[in-house]
Amino acid sequence: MKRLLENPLTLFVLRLSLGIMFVYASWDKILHPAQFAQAVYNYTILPVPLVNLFALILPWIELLSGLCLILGIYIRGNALVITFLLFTFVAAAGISIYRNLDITCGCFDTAGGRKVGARLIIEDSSLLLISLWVLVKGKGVRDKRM
Amino acid sequence: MRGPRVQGFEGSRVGARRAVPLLYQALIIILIGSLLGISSNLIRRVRIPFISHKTDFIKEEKKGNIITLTEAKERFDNGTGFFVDARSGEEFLKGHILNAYSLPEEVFAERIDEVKITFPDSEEFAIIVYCGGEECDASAKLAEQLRQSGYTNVRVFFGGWNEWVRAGYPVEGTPS
Repeated sequence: MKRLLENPLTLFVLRLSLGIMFVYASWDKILHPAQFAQAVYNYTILPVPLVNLFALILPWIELLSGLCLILGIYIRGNALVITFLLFTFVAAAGISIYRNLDITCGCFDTAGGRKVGARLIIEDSSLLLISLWVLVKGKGVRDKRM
Repeated sequence: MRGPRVQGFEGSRVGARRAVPLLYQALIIILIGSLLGISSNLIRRVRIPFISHKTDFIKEEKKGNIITLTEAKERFDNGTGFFVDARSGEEFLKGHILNAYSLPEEVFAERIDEVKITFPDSEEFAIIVYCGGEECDASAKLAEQLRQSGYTNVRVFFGGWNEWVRAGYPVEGTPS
């Protein structure tokens, strides 16, 4: 199992899927910033004045780090960014469930879309594990020495 | 003897070199992403304001529930509005809209009976809920709870305490 996980091909596939997932997730949010801002607002975690700025910036960071993962640029740095993002997503979903909020997640689809619930946490946590693995084992252009 | 020592030194140096670029890489991505996000909003046709206000996020169908400063003052003057302060008791004591009733959002459930005796549900008299200002959401939360317990004429004054004080309208206590 360990050998399979450390196999360069496995790492490549994991990296690629993570990248594609993030590029895909960013797209709808970039196209519909107002709707995404609404979804962010509904979490009632960020202070209201910061919601729009966050909603404008986050999807571009997702797009950029997703693309870089696919292209193999700054692999570990991007895995770090994605790990951090996923960690905050899981935390935000957890807080919302704890507070009993009935909201949509705004993850892939800004119009309607999925509800924040246990399933979302499980999915995001699995992605988090993948990105952690890429962060630990992935090799970037800069790390060729290793 | 020297060989391994030099190697060890090399190894730690490489380790240190790897750690720093990793954070740099992440920061570069975040920085470029932020710049792209901000500039995309500057050049696209449909823009959103960089600083958001609570009223941007209130759903269309709920907008009728918002009351402006002007209308709040009108209702204050002709006595057709009960002002309810959703902030904490402490903040209320420091200063509040004249004759407002203190009902911190988090103690609503405990005081529901008292509230029902104090305020009749009426078409003519609106319950006007407020908190600190645009940035707080206690007023919206309290309004929702009031509606759920049967009140039909509940309005949220989003400008809140700050806007009221700025306009120089009647208050009790000292505005900070």
